[in-house]
Amino acid sequence: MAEENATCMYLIDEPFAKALKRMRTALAEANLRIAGEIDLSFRIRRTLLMNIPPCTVLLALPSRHITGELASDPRGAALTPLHVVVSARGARTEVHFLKARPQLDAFLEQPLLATVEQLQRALSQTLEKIGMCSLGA
Amino acid sequence: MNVVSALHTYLVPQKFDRALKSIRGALNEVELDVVGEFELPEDMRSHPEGEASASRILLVSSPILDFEAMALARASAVFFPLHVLVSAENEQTRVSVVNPTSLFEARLPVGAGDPMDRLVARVAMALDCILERSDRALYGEGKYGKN
Repeated sequence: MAEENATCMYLIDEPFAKALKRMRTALAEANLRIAGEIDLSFRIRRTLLMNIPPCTVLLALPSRHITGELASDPRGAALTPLHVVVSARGARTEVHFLKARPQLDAFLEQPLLATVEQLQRALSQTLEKIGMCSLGA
Repeated sequence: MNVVSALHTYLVPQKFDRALKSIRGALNEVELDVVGEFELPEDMRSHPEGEASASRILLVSSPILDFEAMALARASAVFFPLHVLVSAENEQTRVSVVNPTSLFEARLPVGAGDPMDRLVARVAMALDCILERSDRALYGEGKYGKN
């Protein structure tokens, strides 16, 4: 039975819009590229007419010099860009991303795994600066 | 856990641009949206023969599956939308789909697994349709048409 959670959660003590702005700035300062943003709550509200708290997915890519061939490998492309989920939680904001290590045999090449781990570490370090790690992931 | 079964690869007998159009159309037919796509910069593509080939990642999902996945845990959105890798391969186009939830042994966010399985199945259905149509075009209706 799995013990560890696949994702981790950070809490930012600021409302959603402000926290999202801080996230973008912090990621840029950490040399992480945002390949795109998906406003999930808007998509759900527009198509299903259901109101859910604001939720945006930031698509984070490693800095160019460590990207290598990550995204051109099907397994690497499944995980990159890495999704950083920013979601409102009352007056605070929660951020989720994948922290688990993919199974070793899932990756044919060790460099792919190393790059994913490097991206995960960079995200953790960035979020440590602006938020607080929560055990309730 | 079977990682090998998590990877599905399709070889579409069409050139890259035409295949992309077919893929978008087929996904639309099974009520899936391409919510984003980005071309891989040249430094991120594979260079099998020293030459970069066209490559693009499509971000595929549907609002109802997004909602189902996120209803119990926002963390599920780390897997949504699904990434579909489309790469030119000479006169053909390779499409690769990996179920990202099967790459981990760790505990997944509550509610993420089932919607993702169904999303991957629908993408597979769309891609199967493209291959079936291509076969029809090549071999005629005899193989697939009504008796």
